[in-house]
Amino acid sequence: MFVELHAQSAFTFLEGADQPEALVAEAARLGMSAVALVDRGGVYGAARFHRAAENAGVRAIIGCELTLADGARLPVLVEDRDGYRNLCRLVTRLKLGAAKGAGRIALDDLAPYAGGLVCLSGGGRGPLAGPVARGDREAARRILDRLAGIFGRDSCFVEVQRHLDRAQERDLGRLVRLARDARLPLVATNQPLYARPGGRAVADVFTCIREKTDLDHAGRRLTANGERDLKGGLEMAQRFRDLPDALATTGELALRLGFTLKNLGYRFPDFPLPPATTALEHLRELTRAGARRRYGDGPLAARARRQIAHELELIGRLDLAGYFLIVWDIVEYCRANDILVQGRGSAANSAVCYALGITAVDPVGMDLLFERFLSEARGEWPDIDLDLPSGERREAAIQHVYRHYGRLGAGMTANVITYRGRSAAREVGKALGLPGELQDRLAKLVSNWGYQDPAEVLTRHLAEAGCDPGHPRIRKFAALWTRVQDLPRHLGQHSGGMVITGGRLDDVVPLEPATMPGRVVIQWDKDDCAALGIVKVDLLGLRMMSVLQDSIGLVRETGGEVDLAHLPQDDRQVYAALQEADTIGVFQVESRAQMATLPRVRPETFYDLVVQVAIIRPGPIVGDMVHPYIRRRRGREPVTYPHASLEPILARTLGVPLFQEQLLRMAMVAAGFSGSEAEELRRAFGFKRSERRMVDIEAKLRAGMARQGIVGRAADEIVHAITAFALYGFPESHASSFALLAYASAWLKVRHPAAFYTALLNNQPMGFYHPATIVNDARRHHLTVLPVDVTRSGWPCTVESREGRWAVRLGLRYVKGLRESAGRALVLARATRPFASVADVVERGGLAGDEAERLAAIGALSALGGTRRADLWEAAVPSPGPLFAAAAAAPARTPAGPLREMAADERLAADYEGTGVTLGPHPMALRREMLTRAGVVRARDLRRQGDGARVRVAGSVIVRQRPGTAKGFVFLSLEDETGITNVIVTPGLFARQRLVLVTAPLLVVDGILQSQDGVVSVRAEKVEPIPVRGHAIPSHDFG
Amino acid sequence: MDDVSRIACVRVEAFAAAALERCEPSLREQPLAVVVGTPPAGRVVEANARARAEGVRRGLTDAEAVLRCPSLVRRPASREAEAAARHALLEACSSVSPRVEDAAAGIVHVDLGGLGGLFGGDDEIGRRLRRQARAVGLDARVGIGTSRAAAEVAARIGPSVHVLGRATQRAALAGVPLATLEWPDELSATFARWGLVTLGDLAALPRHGVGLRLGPRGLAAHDRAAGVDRAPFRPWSAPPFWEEAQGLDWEVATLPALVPVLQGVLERLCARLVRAHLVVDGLEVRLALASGGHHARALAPAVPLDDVAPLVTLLALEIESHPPPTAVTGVAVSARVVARRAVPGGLWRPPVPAPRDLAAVLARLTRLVGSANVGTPVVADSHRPDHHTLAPFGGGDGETDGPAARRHGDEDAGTTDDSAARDPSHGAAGRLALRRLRPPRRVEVDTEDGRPRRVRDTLGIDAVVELCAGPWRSSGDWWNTAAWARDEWDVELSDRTVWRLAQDRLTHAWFLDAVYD
Repeated sequence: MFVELHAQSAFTFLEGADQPEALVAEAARLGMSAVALVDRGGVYGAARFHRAAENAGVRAIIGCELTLADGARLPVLVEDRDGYRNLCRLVTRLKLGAAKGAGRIALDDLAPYAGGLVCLSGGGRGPLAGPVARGDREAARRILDRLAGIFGRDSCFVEVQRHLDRAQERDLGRLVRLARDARLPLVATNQPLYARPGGRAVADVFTCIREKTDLDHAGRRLTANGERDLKGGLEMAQRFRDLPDALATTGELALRLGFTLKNLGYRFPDFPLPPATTALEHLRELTRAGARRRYGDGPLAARARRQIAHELELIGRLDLAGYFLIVWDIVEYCRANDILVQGRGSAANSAVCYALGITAVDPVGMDLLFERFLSEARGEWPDIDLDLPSGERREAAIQHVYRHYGRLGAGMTANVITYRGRSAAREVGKALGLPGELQDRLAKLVSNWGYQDPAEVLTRHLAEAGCDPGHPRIRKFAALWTRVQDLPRHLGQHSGGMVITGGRLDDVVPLEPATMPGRVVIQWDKDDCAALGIVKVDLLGLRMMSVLQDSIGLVRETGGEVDLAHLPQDDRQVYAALQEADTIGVFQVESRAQMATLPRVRPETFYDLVVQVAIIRPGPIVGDMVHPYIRRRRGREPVTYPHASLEPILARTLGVPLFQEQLLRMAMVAAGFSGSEAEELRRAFGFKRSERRMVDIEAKLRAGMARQGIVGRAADEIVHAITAFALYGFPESHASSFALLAYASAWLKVRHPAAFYTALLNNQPMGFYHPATIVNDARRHHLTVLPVDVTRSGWPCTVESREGRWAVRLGLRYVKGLRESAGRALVLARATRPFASVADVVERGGLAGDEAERLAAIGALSALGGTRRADLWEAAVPSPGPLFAAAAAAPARTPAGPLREMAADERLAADYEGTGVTLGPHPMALRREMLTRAGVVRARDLRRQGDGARVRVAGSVIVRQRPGTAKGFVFLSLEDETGITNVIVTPGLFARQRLVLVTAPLLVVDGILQSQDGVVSVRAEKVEPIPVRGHAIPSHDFG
Repeated sequence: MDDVSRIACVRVEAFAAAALERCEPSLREQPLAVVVGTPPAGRVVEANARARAEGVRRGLTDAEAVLRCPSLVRRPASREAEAAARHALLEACSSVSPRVEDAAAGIVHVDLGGLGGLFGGDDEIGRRLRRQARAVGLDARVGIGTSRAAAEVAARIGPSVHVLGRATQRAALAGVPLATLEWPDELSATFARWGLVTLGDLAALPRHGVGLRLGPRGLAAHDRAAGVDRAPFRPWSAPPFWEEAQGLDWEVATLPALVPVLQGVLERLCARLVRAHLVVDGLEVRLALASGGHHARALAPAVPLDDVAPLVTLLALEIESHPPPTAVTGVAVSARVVARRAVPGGLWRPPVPAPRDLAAVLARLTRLVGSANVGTPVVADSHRPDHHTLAPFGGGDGETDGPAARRHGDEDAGTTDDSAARDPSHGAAGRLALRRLRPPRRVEVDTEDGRPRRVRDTLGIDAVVELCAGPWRSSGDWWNTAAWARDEWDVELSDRTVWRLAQDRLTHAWFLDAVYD
């Protein structure tokens, strides 16, 4: 029986060429009972390997290749839990002791960690390979003796491989003699880098990427043949027919290596408790106090107490009190340190979380379903995600967790960076030796848009990119690009996922230094952690939280005060703005699709906003729930229910199931499922679908309904709703948390526009729109936006009093090409004494290169008395340096300079080029006369046209979108000086006019006006570009 | 400042394309693009007027250009054709004025001072320059002004012969868009930022101010825009003509009779070269034939020479290989020359053969095996057995320890079995020599379970395989059309000989690759 004990996946970065799952699948196909994954420098792929192996009925043996001080690689395999712990500590030690991506260890340093590990002597890069190839028998013998001494004679194996290589065969003979002399067992491996022989091409490409060369020049750095696939017992038996013992050892050793990742030994940390108190008691006490604050003696208090008691009972039964206390502790830290924090996700279903202040949505008042958050059936830790303002404030919370649990007690989860789209195209193109410029073209060709036309294969547009699709190398490019998709490239860190442990985290998984100082990252991603039962807290940076927190600060600067927890919940002006889709910059409801739905849904209450947040999602769209809901909302369709018993559940959403919680409740009410069973149902039909489980659960669902007397069409309808929607449904709790932020941002926009827009501009990039669109929106709201001015602007945008009203002053951060240090130096210098001249700005601001000219071109120096061009003329004089500064300052400034002043369109171009935004006339306003003559209707006037009218519109393209759910339709947002027009482009028109639609910054569109419930759009029939002079208008393009 | 009053600029647009059209006149009737780079990375660098009319522009990829103009003819850029055309244009202009300046590829400045009395007015001279250019196959535009800068602008705009009057020149230049001339990208960006649109806008700026801000390049640009020349006129003169010729009063029909004539011609030529410190890098011999035609041969010695004897030998060998069809009535030899290079001898280097001897030997070798098979073999970095390239000989400067030699020495050059050679456990007595068969010999092999069982060949060998080791498998170049894959087997035959067999896994053909002895 042969078991491969040295397989390497693509987690041996830039060497292995297949996913761990592919190796497992091939092992299963070959009838292998077990297989060992021994990736270089860690156990990155072990969790996925373990999961795949469990499903395939193959035993996953865990191992790792350790890089020794001389660069040799020593494979070690885990025998038991001690061995696994030693391996994790060992890898952690060598990773944390070196720069990111490096890490080596001396042979002598292995000894303390050798327990429970088995070592193989390695293949062509093993510690014996060099001496054996040189014929230095003594050196080889010494190394082998040391390995046997460190790991023990029964845990040291001489590895032999046969890749049909002449030199390797010579070395094999020497290795056999060495092993026989040392009386150590032989073990045969093939050290596969890919599952099937076809993987060689990808492995060769990876070699080129690693060696920074291309296939034509890689020479002998490429493998000599394609024999590094996973080979089955039969083929290996033929290759090793003269060494049957080497083959037999693999099976015997595999039996001995009994450790699997099921037996991780992870323990959740203990929370420091008051004396003589259990964690549950402490949690109960905190929850009780919190509930009093939240509910008082109000009408919900009794229900809340019952709900909290129910939740605490379950939390106690599942022994999760410590987890809640730890999350509560993080939230308390944030509160104490003025860091805005809000729990999101399914935690919002929990009254305990609400009482503890972890979440802000009242699950009792909103009648949310706790079982969606926590149930006995889940068998994993509950998921509490905390939203924090991005940047320094979130980092402070992360560092608090490190401080609290120790450097080896907490770590960030990894984020596996994979070969995708453009980067993959560039790397593969480079490996194929395509010129850099052609690589750029191919990379651009790889569409990042979400929708993929079934016929839209890569080759279809190769000609468009100026490539010959028939050229052999281009064909190879297309094939290889497809093959490397999703293969791991390197390890990054997750944006906010943290794991913590009761003991040492490096007993559970190896740790590595992160690029960011002060952080360590574990070798698994969040899915791996969840699957292995490792508790994770997501500390997510949310830019809207930063906007809210910054807005509050800015309001305070203007003499106001905002308390987000006590915003008026029924502000009519806020709902009026929402109903009119006046939502640019508003969290979650600013997208084109949301804006096209808001006037139809017309939210009037907070719950309407919750629905609005949830309705424009793939689930309701694919499940065809949006239109029935809107029809019922507009009174055009009666509200009906699949069964009368479901009315209480679906009444709030007018009989249309929109939320995951509703599906769970439907199963509970219609089929008598318990909360846990309902959650099990959702998961069975969710992302990780299993055919068998789905069949079983559906049978159970139907049986349950039959017992309740629900059969026939009603039963079919319910089954259809549940099974179809489980995949995409959005949690109501999540929608509620987001709706809170949506409402808060809408409220700030309406009530404190200067602070809100300022904060929004300071937190770009975020959301759906480019800053230029946000500035235009602010101006349409009669807010004054002031230009960048070296005598007034700070580094960020600020609020400024202007004629008794608050205005937004653009900050120096918007000047492209101006270093932050220079911008801040300008502000500091100005505080000392005002600038006297352009030369003074250059000198005291320490401006370098063309920074002064950049400031001049956008008019940021105009406050010093010159015009843009006069300042440009001045700013172009090179700095004389400190020695001649006095002499240079002597000549008086020419007020006008010899250059002609900028015309309006030149100023526009300079603004766009220099800051990305313009405060002058809109590009369309400059062309309005011509456009009017051509019969173009302004965005504001479009509503006056009737439905079905033939219209001509024009504008700058601020958004291009081709969503995956829209079957190839493309949506454009055209902006003119009066507003935004939505344009719908059919797949046919898009195919015909792709280049114009994708690249032209200004468009004229002829089409048919569609007007429904106040939502106006134009269905395009013809598009034409408008010539642009000297400036690019920014747009956001989305999939 | 150069004190000239009238200057003409003769300019050939799309010069690289024009140079190709000159060699291949039929291209003028077709859309033509000059491309650089090899597919799939070919890129258009120039296009003729017909191609431009079809939308072919500089910078397009090969495939893009064909997409726009399916009938497009693509030709690689030819340095030789451009050099010849450049020379021809200069010569053509020299026939009008003795003072011409080689300004750039396809641009010649002509000093018109004193020509009025000979040829008439500026217009007439301009037309004459066009005619002369056309006579050498180039269609040029001519601009005339009081300076080279002004003339160059005039050559780019207006009629094909564009004369700027002395009084109106400044005004005429002022209205010309800046984009008419080529500027460095940085300057173009600055001009755009400053809002400059025409040459007049730039010329109107204070020169000192421009210089302060943009440095020497700015000053040059300012002068160009103002139509002012500051650099001296650098007259072009034709390079010396290294040729010697001799007419014969009698017809020479044999090589031995021709050799003394060649020797005399070469002695005169080499004497001139020695005085000019030059050596021969290439020779062209042109034999006038009794039939009225010509017989031309060219040769390039392996090393630059100025010794007559080896040159005579080389020429004689070349003519012997390619004899003229009829008797010879005249001999002309022209030389391509390079500067003489003094090479110090290496104290620790072994003595090398004299250049003349080496050159003669190489000439003989080339004659025997063909020029494609002469050079230093360099083992290529590849798994493909015997993959090598031929590098030119390094010359007679004693460079015997160059990279090629080192690489050669490091790799398995195929003379001994590498494993045996490197394995100290093999004593000298146990070493097998491997004799490679180049090219390998085709054999028939019967197999059993994929292993060789019996070997036959056309020379009558028919033997049973007693022992075999292998396969040793290698493959490569899967990413291009030269993909290969092979297995090697070491077999001991029933007659006790040990062979290395190779099977091409793509064609399944078997070869006898080597013999161990």
